[in-house]
Amino acid sequence: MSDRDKNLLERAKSSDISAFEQLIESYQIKIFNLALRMLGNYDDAGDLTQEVLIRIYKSIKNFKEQSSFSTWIYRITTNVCLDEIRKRKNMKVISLDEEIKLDDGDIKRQVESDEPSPEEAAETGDLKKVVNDAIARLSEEHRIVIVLRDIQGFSYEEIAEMLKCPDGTVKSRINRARQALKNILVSERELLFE
Amino acid sequence: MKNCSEIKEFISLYIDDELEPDKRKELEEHIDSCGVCRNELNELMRIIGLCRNIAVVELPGNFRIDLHQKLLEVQGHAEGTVKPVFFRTKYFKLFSSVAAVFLLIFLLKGFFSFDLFPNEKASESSDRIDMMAESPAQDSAQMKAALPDSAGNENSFSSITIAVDDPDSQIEIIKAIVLENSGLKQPSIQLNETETGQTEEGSISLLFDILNTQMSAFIDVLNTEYGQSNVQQGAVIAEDMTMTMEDLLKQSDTLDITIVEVILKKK
Repeated sequence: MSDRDKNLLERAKSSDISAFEQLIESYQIKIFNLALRMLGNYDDAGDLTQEVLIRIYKSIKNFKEQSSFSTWIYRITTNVCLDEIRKRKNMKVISLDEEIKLDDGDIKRQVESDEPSPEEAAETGDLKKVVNDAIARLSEEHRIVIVLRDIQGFSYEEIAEMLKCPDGTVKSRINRARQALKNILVSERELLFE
Repeated sequence: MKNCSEIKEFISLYIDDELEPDKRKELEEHIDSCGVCRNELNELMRIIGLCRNIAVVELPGNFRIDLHQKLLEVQGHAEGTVKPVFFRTKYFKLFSSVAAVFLLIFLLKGFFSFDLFPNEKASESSDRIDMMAESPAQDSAQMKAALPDSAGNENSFSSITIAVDDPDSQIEIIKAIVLENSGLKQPSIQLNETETGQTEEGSISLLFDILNTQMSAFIDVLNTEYGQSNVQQGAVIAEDMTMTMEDLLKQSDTLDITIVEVILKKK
């Protein structure tokens, strides 16, 4: 951690809001994108990111200098995302009429609206949309490791710390998640070419 | 690593450069000669490449302003509950403990001089006091009765179950969290490894007393560290706990404690 950041951290621990905002400035985009890929919804991702940052602000006094600040932040982000997804899964069961609407349709539409410029989309064709859709269809255990590893680029070690699970678990999960993703894409491709 | 199904297991590690040199060599040799696995590898690498190129999305327009507003609210909340200076001196806790002891003595005194049997003479009431003071269990039962009703949670006993992958490694961390977020003194942490023991699920229990007001902070920290879905709160039957409760009540100079049991369960 840089000296500047260390200083900001100290001040943030004393509830200095401005210091806190400067400290998390470089992290918030990544948190947002992580949330976006996990939830598949732009507005929800914004809300969730703010919730994550508020939580971090509240519990920053408990942060020990020894561990990595970055890892701590993304671990909290991961936990909040997974909690939210599981909460929604439970809610889905209750509102049966909504189920059909809430399913793939909504998620797909939302993720589509985040696509980059129209030219880019035309270039790579449907590929990017298809990949985004496929990721959204993964189970949350698979999705989180794909997002952390292949989209955000965290190392195996970092991921193990964020998910609080052993190295071996991370390795096999990444492998299985990629296989699952591939399977979804293969079946999509078949549909595309029918 | 000779056959294709084995290769599949290691393919991800190979792509991420996490394979030891000898295994890597074996894999590469296999790939050279096996078209199926080569295709598999290429497909995966292509998909991963697509993932890596997924565009980074910008924060929504009002994000920083909204966040700032919320942070101010949080700060305002915290400040609103900031106690006046007197309560923040480091001696406050000492003062309040002493005051609590005096209060207890006063209440007990009041209880014992209460005339339960108005028809009998005053000298006989002292016999009653001796009888009442007989067993330790009864003593604390009376202490409980004498306590003001705010400790209506005098029988508070909560249990928290945390699902973790590896209970043994998390114990020290939990202890640290408890020590930091609990109340007045070092909580008496009782490690119930032998009592509840290692169950089939692999769980370890910690018992400690905590100021009621500190519970929510403590729960917050646990939720943040372990994820809300992995932390479960529940009330537990106090049967086994009565003895411990009474011990703690006797030792404790606080009025308002909750006994918390933290159970670490394997995920």
